[in-house]
Amino acid sequence: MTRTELAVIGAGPAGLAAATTAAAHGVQVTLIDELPAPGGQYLAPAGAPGRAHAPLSAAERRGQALLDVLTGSGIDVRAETIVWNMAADRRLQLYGAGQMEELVAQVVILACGAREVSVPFPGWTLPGVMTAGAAQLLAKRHGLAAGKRVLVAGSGPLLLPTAERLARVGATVVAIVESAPMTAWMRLGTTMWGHWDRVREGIHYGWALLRAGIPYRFGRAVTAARGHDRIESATIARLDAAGRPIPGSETAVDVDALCVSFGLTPNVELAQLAGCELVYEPQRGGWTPVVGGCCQTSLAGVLAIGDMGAVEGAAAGMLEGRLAGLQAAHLVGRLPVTAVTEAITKDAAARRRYHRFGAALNTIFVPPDGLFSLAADDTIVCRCEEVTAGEVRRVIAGGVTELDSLKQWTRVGQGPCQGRTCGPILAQMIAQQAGRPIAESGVFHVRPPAKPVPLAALAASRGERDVA
Amino acid sequence: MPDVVVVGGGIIGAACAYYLSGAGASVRVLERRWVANGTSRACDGLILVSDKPSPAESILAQTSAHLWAELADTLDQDFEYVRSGAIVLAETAEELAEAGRKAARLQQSGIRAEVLHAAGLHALEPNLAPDLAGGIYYPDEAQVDARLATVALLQAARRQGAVLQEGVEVTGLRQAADGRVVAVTTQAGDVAGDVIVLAAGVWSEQIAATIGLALPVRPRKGHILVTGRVPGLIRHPLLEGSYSASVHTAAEETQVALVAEMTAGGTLLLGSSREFAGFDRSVSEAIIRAIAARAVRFLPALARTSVIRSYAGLRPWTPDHLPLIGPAGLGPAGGPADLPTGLFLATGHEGAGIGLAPVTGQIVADWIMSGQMPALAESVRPGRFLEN
Amino acid sequence: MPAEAAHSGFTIEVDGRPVAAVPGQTVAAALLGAGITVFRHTPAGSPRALYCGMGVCYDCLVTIDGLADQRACITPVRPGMRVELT
Repeated sequence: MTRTELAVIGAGPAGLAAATTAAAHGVQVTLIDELPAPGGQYLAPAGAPGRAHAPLSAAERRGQALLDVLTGSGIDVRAETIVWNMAADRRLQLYGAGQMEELVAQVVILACGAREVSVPFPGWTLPGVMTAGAAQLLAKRHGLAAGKRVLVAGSGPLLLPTAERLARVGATVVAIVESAPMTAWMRLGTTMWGHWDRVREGIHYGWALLRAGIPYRFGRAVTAARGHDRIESATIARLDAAGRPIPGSETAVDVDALCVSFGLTPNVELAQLAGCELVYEPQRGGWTPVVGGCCQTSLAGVLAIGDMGAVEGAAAGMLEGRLAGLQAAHLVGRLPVTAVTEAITKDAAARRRYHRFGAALNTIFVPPDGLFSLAADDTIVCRCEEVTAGEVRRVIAGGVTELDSLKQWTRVGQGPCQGRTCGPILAQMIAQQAGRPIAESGVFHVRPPAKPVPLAALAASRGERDVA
Repeated sequence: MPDVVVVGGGIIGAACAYYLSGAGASVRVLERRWVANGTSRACDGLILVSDKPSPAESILAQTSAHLWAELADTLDQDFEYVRSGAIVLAETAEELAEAGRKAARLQQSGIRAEVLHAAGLHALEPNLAPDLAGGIYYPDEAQVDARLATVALLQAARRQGAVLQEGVEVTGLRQAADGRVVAVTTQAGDVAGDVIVLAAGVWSEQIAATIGLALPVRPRKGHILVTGRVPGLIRHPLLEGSYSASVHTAAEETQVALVAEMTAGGTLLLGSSREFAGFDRSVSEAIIRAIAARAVRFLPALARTSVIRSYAGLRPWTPDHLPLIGPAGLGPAGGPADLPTGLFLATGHEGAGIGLAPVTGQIVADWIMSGQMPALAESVRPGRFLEN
Repeated sequence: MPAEAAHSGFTIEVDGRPVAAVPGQTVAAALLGAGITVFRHTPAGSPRALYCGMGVCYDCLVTIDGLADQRACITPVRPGMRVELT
């Protein structure tokens, strides 16, 4: 068992900001991430083959600067390391470099980020159908195009950089298919005030797409993907006001990749395992930890920052990270509380702006209800266990209205992802079919290990003080 | 026809509801969350007769195993019943000799068993560690998916007219002036019945306590690990030699003994652990490491896979390791008197709830409908504890 | 492949055949770059490959150096790595 003053879980922009801030105030920091190098989903690590391709936005430049500070900062960086369990008393179970380790932290900052929300449709499990984030990563990090002829679909601002990056690495982007109506962007209205970086980014992408001749179509969605061993064509339909496809409006396009994004939802699994209180807040992206003024969760000494607390983007995450780093420094006795309260006051206005903008994006660009009718009865909704929509609909019709109960009547959520992909889908299906608020279906009860760990490594890590 | 209220929608409550409604009783099952959400969701689903040393446990287990085979044919819903057989492993020659003696005793009561030496063991299970001395093959052992089995029994009960109410938590029992239990209390008011069957597992004790009835049922915590898919790794459920001893010891120390079972999806369920930890259901890292270590010792090929999740459950334990099945208010030879009537107990099935569910349901149904104690129920009368 | 990668590039073995790899690549990127678009088949026989790209969906599972069910999307390639697709 080892000890540290501050454990930061997640080395994306928020986690980097927290770790570097705390370290700058003399805190002993352990920074843990399961990826091979720090940076999270947002920042390509140094030396990444695709890094040369991408021009950096202001937030990316600030994030890269944090990465550059890491070496020589004294932070103990644990890359390729999984945190597979966390207890309320901040005992962390780590698996990395083939070894198990128990790490006890005085303060834990959870910066686990967020993941894409999926809407199932026939053919969505075919190779070549992936999230927009996956396509971006392939392009940004590896200079690889997801396919030669690519369709980008879904809802929200992530579709734009995805299309731009795909074009940049040589793909023909057939179109961007946005399910929201064109007026959605106008609804953002005054929430965009102050977010000039994002506005500039938006203009940059819009201009790039115009130059590349990539159509940007609104009020439409992909209703099916077809192909044998990979996607060969996608069907696009116009949507009615409720988001249902209008029969007769379908057109098919030949593509070899389909990149879909419907927004992000926080990765709350470790918070859940430790026993943090969770709350369902669509403005923040879905189920998130209950947090107080300085990112404090319901557990003493545990903070939650970045997209994991509320999906608001990298810049907001770095701001919160800095505050959490100061708070951590205070909690271990390196800073007076005034340093923290002053920083919170100073940043309060900016945080409010980020929150309003994030809340607008998270509530405007959501998959419309009607899209959840796309899944045919034989469409898989739980990818791990291959459970179909029909099976789930039958069980919901029988009166099952909680996710954990669904897990007992079918095999949903029992695979290696423990419901990360299917959870939000099933919550929507229950809400719509049973006519109940989404929050009432609860969350899947995640069990340790938060992510699979090798059995042999568990076996080998038995200590003498272990029981039996 | 009596109105019966069954408290608990786990495997025992489900079996009671099935057999009672089949015998014509009007049955209402009250489950505080949803079916099989308690201990029945944390089981390995093994139906074993080979691990029961006492004649009383053994005859109950054998009867129940036959009933499971019948249910597999008669119930409409599939619950992955397999006559898988099971192998008890022996690491050393001494262990094998002792296991052989036990097997010979079991054979006398009609249980089939075959002693395997190293070569025979590896012919049946090629992925076992090469240094094992052998094992005992019990070909008639079986397994089910515990959750599916609970659901199947309840669905069948509902088709026979039983009513299932989920989301209703029974908070206590209510007695009439003469002491007879006449209803259960819930957040939504009383639910009355001619007979109340208490099948609430580890939670039976606190419900009974509301009328001053002290049930000797303690939670005994167990753990299960689920691996990734390893189809074909084992062909039979496997138990290490010390498993039966770990079940029957009353020691307070934590017991770990390997149990390995393949699921229909090709993942392995790995257990087992036993400890008295109150109602705590959090997963202990030390225990899952210990189970993992036993698993890798016996099945080195497991090094290719991962643990994808683990969970803990609470077995309802009694001091003589036999369940409490029967009326709370009947002593020996129909005796006294000051124990509440109207209350039937069906609880205390430590580690054998799945296996013994059908015989429990049958005893409860026979006893309630006929008013007579079935012969099989002698060893499990609640009176053996409650009258002292 | 960019010029500097030609010096640092190596091969990994995929189902016994050599596949070009570059330091910093993930196994998924190496597979896709080699035109391998199906990473595995589910028990029901459906082809799967990369979906989320960030290690949460557990679709891109391949066997790496004898350890099954590894996520190709976040595992970095290493010289001498043996990948098996199922």
